[in-house]
Amino acid sequence: MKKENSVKLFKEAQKYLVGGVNSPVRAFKSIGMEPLFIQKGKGSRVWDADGNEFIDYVLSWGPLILGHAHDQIINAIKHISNYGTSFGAPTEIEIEMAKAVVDAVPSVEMVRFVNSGTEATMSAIRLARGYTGKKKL
Amino acid sequence: MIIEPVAGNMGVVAPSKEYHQRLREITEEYGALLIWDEVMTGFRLSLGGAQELYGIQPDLTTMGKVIGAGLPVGAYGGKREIMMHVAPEGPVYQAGTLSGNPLAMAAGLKQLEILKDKNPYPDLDRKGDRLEKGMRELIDKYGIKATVNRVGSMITMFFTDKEVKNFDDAKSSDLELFNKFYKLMLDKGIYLAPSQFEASFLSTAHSDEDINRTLNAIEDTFKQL
Repeated sequence: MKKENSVKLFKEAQKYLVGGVNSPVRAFKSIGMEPLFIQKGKGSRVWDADGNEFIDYVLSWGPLILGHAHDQIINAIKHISNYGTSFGAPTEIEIEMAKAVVDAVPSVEMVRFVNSGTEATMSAIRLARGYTGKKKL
Repeated sequence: MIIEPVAGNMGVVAPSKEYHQRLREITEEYGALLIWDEVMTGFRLSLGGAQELYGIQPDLTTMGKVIGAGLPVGAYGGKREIMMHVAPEGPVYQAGTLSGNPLAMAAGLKQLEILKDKNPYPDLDRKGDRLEKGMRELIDKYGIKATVNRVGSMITMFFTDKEVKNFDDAKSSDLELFNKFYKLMLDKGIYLAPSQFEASFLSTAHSDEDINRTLNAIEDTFKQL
C-alpha cells in the first residue's frame, strides 16, 4: 500500500497540531503506524491522500449511518447554507429538529441542542448535579 | 449515575436487560438520576436508541453522532420536570454560540427524516449478522483466539479466547495480534476502527458485496497471522 503522502502530511501536522490530530485515536498510536489522511468519501468508501480506496467501517466514528456524502444530506446542507450558517438567535428548524428527537426517543420530553456528544454528556452531568444536589457521580 | 447502555468505548459490550433494570431500580431507590449516554447508540440501534430496545426509561439521555449526520450536533434531553432546571427556565447554566445552528440542524433533521421514513434498522441488523456469522466461521476455521460482539450495526472482534462481557474481559485481548490483523486488513482495503477498544460501524451504504469483500479480506488475513 502506498503511504508516502499520508506520512508526509502527518509529519507536517505534528509541527502545528498536538500529536498531529484533533482527537487522540486518529493518531493510530496504539496501532504503531502513521494515520491515513483521508481525502474524500462516498457511500461505504473513503479514499486517502495516496489514492488508496477503503471500505470504511469507522464512518467518522458513527455519525454516518447513511454512508459518506449522502445526496439528500449534502443537498440539505447546500440549500440552507445559502441563507447563512449561524445567527445565535432562535430559528424555526430547531423546533422541527427538537420535535423529531422527542418523537423518536421514548424518555425524552424536552431537549437542548449542543455541539457534540461530549458537550451533551458534560452538560447532562451538570444538570443532574444541579437537580439532585448530589455531588458524586 | 451515567452509563453507555451498550458500551462502545471498550469495544462493543452489551449488558443484560436485568442489569439495566437493576440500575433503574437502584437509582430510583436512592434518588439519583439515571443518565444514558446514547451518543453512540442513539438513532443507530433503532430510531429510539438503546432505550427503545431495552424498554428502560432513563431520566436523562445524551445524544451525538448520528443526530448530526456528520455535522457537529449533540443533545441532552429527558423528563420535562428535570429539563426545566436548565437556563433560561432554571438555574443550571449552559449556553453555546453555535448550538442549534441551522447548518447542523438541517443535516441532522434530514438524516432523522430518512431514518424514520426508510426504517433501515432491520436491514442493518441483517448485514451486521452476516458479518458477525462470517467472522465467527473464519475464527473457528483458522483456530484464531478471537470472539465477536455485536449489537445491530455496531461490531467488535476481540482477540481473546474469553467471552467478552465486561472491561476486564475486553482488556484480556492480545493487542499485538490485533495490531497485526489491523495493518493486514488495511493493506487489503478495509478500514476498521484503529483500536481494539472501539466499535466498527455499518451504514446503509454498505452492500452485501462490501461484506463479502470484507470477509474475504479477513480470511486472507487469518491465513497470514
